[in-house]
Amino acid sequence: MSAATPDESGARRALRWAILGVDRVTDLLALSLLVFLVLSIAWQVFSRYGLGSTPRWTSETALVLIGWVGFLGIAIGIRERSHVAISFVVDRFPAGLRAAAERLAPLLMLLFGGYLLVQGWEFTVQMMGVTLPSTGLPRSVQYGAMPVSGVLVLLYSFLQLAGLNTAREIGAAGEDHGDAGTTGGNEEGSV
Amino acid sequence: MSGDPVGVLILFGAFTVMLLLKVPIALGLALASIGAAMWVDLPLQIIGQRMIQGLASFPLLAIPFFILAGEIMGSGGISRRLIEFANILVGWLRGGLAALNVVGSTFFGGISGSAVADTSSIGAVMIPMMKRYGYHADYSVGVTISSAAQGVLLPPSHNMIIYALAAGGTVSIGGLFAAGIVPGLLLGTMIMVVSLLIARRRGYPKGDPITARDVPRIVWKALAGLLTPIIIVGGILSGVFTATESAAIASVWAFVVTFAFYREIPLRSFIGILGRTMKTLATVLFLIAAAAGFGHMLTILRVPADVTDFLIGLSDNPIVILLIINLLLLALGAIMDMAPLIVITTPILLPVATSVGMDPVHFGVMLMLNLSMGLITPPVGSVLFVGAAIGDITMEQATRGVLPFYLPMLAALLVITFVPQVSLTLPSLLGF
Repeated sequence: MSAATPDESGARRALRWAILGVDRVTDLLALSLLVFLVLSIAWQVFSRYGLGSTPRWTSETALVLIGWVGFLGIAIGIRERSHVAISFVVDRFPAGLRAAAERLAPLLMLLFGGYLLVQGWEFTVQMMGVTLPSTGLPRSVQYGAMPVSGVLVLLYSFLQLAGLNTAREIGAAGEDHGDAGTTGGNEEGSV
Repeated sequence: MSGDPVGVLILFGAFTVMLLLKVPIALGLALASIGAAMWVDLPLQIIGQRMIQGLASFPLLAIPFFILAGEIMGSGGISRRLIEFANILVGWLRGGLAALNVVGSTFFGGISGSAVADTSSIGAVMIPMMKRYGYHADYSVGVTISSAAQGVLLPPSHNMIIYALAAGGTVSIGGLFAAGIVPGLLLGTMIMVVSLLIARRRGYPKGDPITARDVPRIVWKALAGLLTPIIIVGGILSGVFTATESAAIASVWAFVVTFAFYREIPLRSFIGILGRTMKTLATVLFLIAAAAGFGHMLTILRVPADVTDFLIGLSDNPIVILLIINLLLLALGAIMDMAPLIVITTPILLPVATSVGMDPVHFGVMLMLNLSMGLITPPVGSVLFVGAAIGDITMEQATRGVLPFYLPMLAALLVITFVPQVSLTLPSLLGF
């Protein structure tokens, strides 16, 4: 995903826009679910103290939402390379070895993405018949976060394995700025 | 010993190798758990299922809300107002800016519970100001980051919720929050005393005097922000709200204060705030989810029981056991970040601590202090990195600056470890 150049081929540009679209949809979905999560619990409190009755759907819905936020977050964190890792050992490696070690994380992410997709999908299908007690939705709604996240993890780790910088700088002041180079500190994102 | 040494070796060996090779910690936890599950012939799906279930917990919902509230307050000008407020209290002292820094961090720590957020928002105002008034850069950074570490003890602290979850839901969040207050204030006072002693010896200046006329305005402006921790902590301690509910209210309140009362930033910057919340949350939730899978394998392989047997075998003296735990946590804290260590060490070390008669709430406070010291200790200390970056000094200089502050921190650690009453009196008074 180098910056757009005049001689960039049509296919390459289409691919770049497709990936950008996936990024946008992922972010939009994750942030909307997060806002919905806040509002549903805020509503629960308001309803309990203001209206005198606790709605039955809020906490169950929130517990499903947090799973989705968390698993979309796994993919977003991989895209942004913001999951906490220890880099001081690898940083002391000679250049060749370091380059090899840097490939390990995306490779293992690819493996994990495959796991989430395959095993997560199977489990989601198994859970079709089981319903959540309050909302009556199938439990697959909750576990579906695994395969969806799996697809995104596969996509982003594949792109990183190909040496591309996938970071979109979510939450940074200017969004969508150019993504040349393959820097990406892993020390950030701590709490 | 464990019935399955190979399984334990796979779990810890694979994790350690991945950890050292810059594989994200949460990913290492998840993959090592999957590997160990394969070895003991468990269905592979179990780890993914445990991960989802690890997130589906009502107390855990407080974490996104606390992070969101902290992000909103941090972006909307609260830190500057807290500093102005703290200035009234301690600004007139020699080395007043250092004391101000500590008090400001205490207030801010009571809002965000994140040492990194504390350093970046209080430090961004205080470190340049201190340098301008002739304080040495390394000292300024040292004061900032050691007092930021103190904020982790003060409620609301999302790290304490991570601990309560890692402890298996048997520890009351309200009790933990109450238990952190006295140790946090004790540590803050000790850091302030040391910073003032150094300031006196080096002849750092006094702060600018404030005119009495300005005081009501400053207090009024700071009060709106200071109400956030009061809502959260008061709501939980009085039993009116659950931790999760009070956290949700706090983020709504923080939103109102920032966008309707302070109005320093435009409404559209809320998108950026949400994005940053999501980024932090992504890291924390992945760790918690992966730790749920890892914890399941720890239990199946009987690791916590074996570690307890081993340590008790070394010595049956509780003082020795607790010192070993402290040293272990400090050493681990030097190379790893707080949240991953909470989720990894709690299931292993909490049973050891309780076996020598330690209360889980007391252990939580001790764990928080140990690991927050790790945040400012090289080679890996996220707060140390942020502080050095803001102070525009090298890691070595920042380390030298923070060195004198290990004295109050270690002293506080010993007091907190061996005098349970410091932590446990307040929660028991409040009926937890």
